[in-house]
Amino acid sequence: MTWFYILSIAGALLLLLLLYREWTRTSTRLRTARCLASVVLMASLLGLCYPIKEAATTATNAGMIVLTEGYSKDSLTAFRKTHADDSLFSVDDTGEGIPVSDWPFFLKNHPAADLHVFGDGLSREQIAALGTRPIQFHPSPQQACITDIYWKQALLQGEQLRVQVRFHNRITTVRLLLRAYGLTKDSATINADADTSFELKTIPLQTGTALYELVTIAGRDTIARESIPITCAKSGTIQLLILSSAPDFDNSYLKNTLAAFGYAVEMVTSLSSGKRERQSLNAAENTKQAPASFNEFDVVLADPAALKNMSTADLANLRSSISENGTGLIIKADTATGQRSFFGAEASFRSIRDTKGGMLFNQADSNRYPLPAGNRIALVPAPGQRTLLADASDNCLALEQQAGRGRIVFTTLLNSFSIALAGNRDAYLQLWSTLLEAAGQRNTHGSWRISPLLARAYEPQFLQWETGGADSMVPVGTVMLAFSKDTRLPGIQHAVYWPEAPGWHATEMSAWYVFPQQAWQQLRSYQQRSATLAYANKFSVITAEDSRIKQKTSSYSQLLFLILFLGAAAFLWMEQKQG
Amino acid sequence: MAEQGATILSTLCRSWSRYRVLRDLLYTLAICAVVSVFVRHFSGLPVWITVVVCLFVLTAWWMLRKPWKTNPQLLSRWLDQQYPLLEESSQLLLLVPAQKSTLQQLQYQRTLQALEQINDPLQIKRRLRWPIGISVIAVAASLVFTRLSFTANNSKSPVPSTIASGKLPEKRPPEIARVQLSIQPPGYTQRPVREQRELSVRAETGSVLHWTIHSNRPIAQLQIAFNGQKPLAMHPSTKDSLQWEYTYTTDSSGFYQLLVAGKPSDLYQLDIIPDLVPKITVSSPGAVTIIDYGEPPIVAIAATISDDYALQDAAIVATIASGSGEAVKFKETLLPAAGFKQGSRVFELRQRLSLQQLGMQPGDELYFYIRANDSRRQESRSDVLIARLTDTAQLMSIDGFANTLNLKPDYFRSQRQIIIETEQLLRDKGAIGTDSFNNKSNSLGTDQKLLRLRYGKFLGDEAESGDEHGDELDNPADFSNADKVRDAFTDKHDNAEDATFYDPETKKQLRAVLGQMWDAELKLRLFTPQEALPFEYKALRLLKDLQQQSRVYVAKASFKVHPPDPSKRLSGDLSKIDLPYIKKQSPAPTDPNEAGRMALSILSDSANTWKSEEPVLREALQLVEQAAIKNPARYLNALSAFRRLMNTTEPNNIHAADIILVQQCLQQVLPKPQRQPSIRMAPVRTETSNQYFRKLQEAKL
Repeated sequence: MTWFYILSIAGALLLLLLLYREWTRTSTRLRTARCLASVVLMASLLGLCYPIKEAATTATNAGMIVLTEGYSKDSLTAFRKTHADDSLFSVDDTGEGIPVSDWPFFLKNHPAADLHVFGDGLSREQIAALGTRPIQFHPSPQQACITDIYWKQALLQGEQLRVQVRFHNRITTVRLLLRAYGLTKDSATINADADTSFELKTIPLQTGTALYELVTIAGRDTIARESIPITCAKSGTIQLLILSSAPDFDNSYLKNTLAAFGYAVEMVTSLSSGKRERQSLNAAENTKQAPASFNEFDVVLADPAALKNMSTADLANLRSSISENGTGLIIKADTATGQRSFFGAEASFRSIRDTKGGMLFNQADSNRYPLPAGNRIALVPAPGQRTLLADASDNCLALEQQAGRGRIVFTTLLNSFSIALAGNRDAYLQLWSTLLEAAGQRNTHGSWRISPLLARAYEPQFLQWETGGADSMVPVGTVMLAFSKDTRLPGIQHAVYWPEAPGWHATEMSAWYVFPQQAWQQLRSYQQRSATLAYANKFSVITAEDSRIKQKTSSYSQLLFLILFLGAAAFLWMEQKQG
Repeated sequence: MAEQGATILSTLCRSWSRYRVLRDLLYTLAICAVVSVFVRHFSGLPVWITVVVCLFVLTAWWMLRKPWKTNPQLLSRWLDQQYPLLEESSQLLLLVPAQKSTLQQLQYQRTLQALEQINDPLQIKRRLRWPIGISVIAVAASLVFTRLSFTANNSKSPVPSTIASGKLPEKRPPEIARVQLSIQPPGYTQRPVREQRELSVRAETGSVLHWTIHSNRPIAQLQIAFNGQKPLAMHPSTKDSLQWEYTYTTDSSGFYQLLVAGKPSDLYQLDIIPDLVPKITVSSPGAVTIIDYGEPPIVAIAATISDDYALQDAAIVATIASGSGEAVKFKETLLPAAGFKQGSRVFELRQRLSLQQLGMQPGDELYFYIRANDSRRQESRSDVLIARLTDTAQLMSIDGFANTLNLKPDYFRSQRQIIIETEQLLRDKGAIGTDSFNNKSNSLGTDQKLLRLRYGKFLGDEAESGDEHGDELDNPADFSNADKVRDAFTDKHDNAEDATFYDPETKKQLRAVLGQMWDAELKLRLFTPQEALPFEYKALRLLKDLQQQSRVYVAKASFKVHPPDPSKRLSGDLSKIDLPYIKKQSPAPTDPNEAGRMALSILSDSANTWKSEEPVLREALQLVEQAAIKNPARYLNALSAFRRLMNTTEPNNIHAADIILVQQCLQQVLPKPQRQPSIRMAPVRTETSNQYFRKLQEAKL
């Protein structure tokens, strides 16, 4: 095509020159004819240099055009020019074509016809009904939309909301705003022609349920507005036992901090041979002098020397409590942890020299906190251990490992109080939240799983209830929902819930949000489109032999152009001779 | 007469030039107005960018066309074309009399007369009609378009902002016909009494507000309530109860409302302009001024004191500390600010303190600050500044040198020795001859140089003489010795002995010492040891400061107490020692903002559920009230909205805009909740999971 343009422009310039010369000639005889001959001359010369082809199409078998939501009318119109005989159907409420109410029946009735799907594509169920039948998919262009999103719906007070988004952008620069009650909390800018992943963060201020907004803005237009439902609940209490082989300010600071929150903390400190100081803060009224067993505590925090000094029976009780009951153990480890104990068998260390003070990276909130300068001991994670905290050089400062039902957490941060005293109290609380959450756990009698995350009204929701009990009827909103037991896993029960109205729906233990039907339409379209495209690529109908559309091209005979060229040239020459 | 023609033509040329410039300006204005509207609307760029571009284009256009220059020849030709009356002879007006023939002179006269008869030959006024008209229309259209788009943008946002821009729209009770509010600022502000007819008030702290309210019918009772507190009765000033008055003195921001026969009105803003304390900005001297040996004992103070109303008093409070150790004596002196005038709003203080007049001796320190009072008796103080007179006798003492860690005492004695010898030289100046004096001064300069070079080595400076390596290659046998040649002509920068481990701050100070030693050496070599003394003393002072830097106090680092070894510890009988069992109960912390946090969620729910949560909403309303009292301009709207929501009994009468306003206010008022450590929920234990766990444990064993 480029060559065509070059020839055309050159020919046009030459033609203008010829016309100018003919028009300005002194003799005006046959002027009009001469100009016409010049035009014919140039046109025929162009035709000789660039053959002009004509496309002719012949259609063979008639196919079926299936319209889905979001189809492009321009694409359809262009397609129908060459497929005028194809029948038009619609599986969604598109307003065009014959509506298809029963997709499997439709497929059964037209087993051999070629299917051309336009729009956002077919749903999961419709794709499943196709089996292995090939289709040709003509997706509508998607310019800017969220392609994937996740956020944790149930948060604790003070916990950060992190909305993880993947965005596909093929238009101008787009901004995403996370808004709460009309105020923008966080935003991100996505450049044109980019697929980007990012996070939007904020700390919710409310207690209870809330609907945040995710607004997509391109220039001055709002192209999408979706709800982000969350719930914020207060943190529960923790029962903590601190075993200290010597008075330690770090333990005291932690004890006072947790006691200020109303948590029950018990601290036993060895002061001398056979002498221990015991403190109980916020303990229950009927607490005895000494706790009956370690099972009463959610987490035990100890240093290796204190554990070594325990009697064999106590150590066995602790081990049993961790493995059987799920009690957590946090060990403030150093190189003297002891390789032969049940808690230190897999702990290995190395020392790091830090003269300037590093940054502590906490994956829980993606923040970094300054650490005071000083020599530190880093842990070396072994297989089966997970790093919880690391510094900027990836030196592991805390890790966890499974120990039966419970977990053991090792940390080499022996002076975490310095973070709080340096003014980073939030960082200190977040650090201990990470450690305590990794180690401790509270037994529950049931847990819920609800899918999909973006549930919509009038669409099925799959509830999975895991419980040790035998209840099979559970109130969900105003409905008593009957659960069916899983045939392979006793204790797990399933139910399908069809919400009639959007909004918050709750059981006695869990609450979730049901979106309106039009919510997250772009995301659903993208997912549908991706699934249909994947299916179409797998079972594509286009091959050289099977092509329905035979493109026939023919060139106009160049002899004609040659005759015209010679005729016009001859006329001009003769006229010139005579004139 | 001959000159008259040329004068007329030159006048016409100037008029034409002015016309062309004015025409270009008007067209540029029109184009700029139209283009700026489009640019701002479609791209959002500010108007000034378009103006700059248009001016640039206009300038380029004028550089090319030069409208201020009009060729008289061309103008005369144009006149000939336009006015046949001139008989194609206007060019004669440009000729000087000597150039014209008799016929030309006659024709000149005729042409001049004809030209004078023409009224406004250039018709500039007529010509300017189009440019003026177009520019007026363009500017008017752009203003109208801008106004329309501004109005359209504003009308798109359905929710009024909590941040009020300008005055709040007032809603008055229907019984109130007219309001007169007089604001009498305090006398010291020297501001006049002002009257207004609006109920929202913005007044100075301590102003006396006097309301005179005229009602359109007799009212039984009219009350006024400030900040939601108990209503106070207003007094009828007429018998027919059609006029009511009340006087109030303001001291803090807030809001108030009127109660007509017990029925509350809308909330009105009471915004107080605070009286700020005087502001003192000290431009000189710095925080610490050290007056070295040889410098004049004068401290020049330059400061600016300002207040929003009037300054009452300004002074310098100086405290002199003399002595050392436990025998330090302090003497405080109050120095009036020179040139201060009571009642001024800004005062530039320029004062020189003579330390000798204050009775300071070498080694004493002066602590001083500037104090200012405004007409409301509010006091403000500047930072405390220090001026120190160096005691050279103390410098020459060797106290503290024994603690030197890095620098050798020999060097310090050398600098002291140079000072001692310089002073001795000055004392002996009269006794010895000039040559001897100069020689001794020069040799002192050499000593100073050697000392400087020795210190320079700490900073890695090279030796200056340059011939230190020369003797290494004297032996011809060493000419092919590669190592010796390398030693002779290369610099060993990685020699550990020469390496310095000083931090940049120490190096900077050592560099300053070298600088002083340079100056001292210069003066000594110029045979002016008297001028070298201040530099020598300063070098010694800097060296002492450097040495004393090692005494900085550092924060105590955390330490871990090593666990005691019980077997080695107290071997006494401890069996009778009972350690107490400490049991404490601390109440669970309550978040004072918890009601506000819950209200955010409750307000999003259906209004039918609010009744059961009314106590929480009432508590949240108090939070918003407190915020509105502190910042009425920002939160009064939200408080009114919240009250409307609480008082509405029909859910259908609740406006979504009110809910959003209240929620936005709570979002701005509530602090972030503190993250509390928590633990996770364990997986549910079912029979299957228990069985699986037991199998795993058995396999492990």
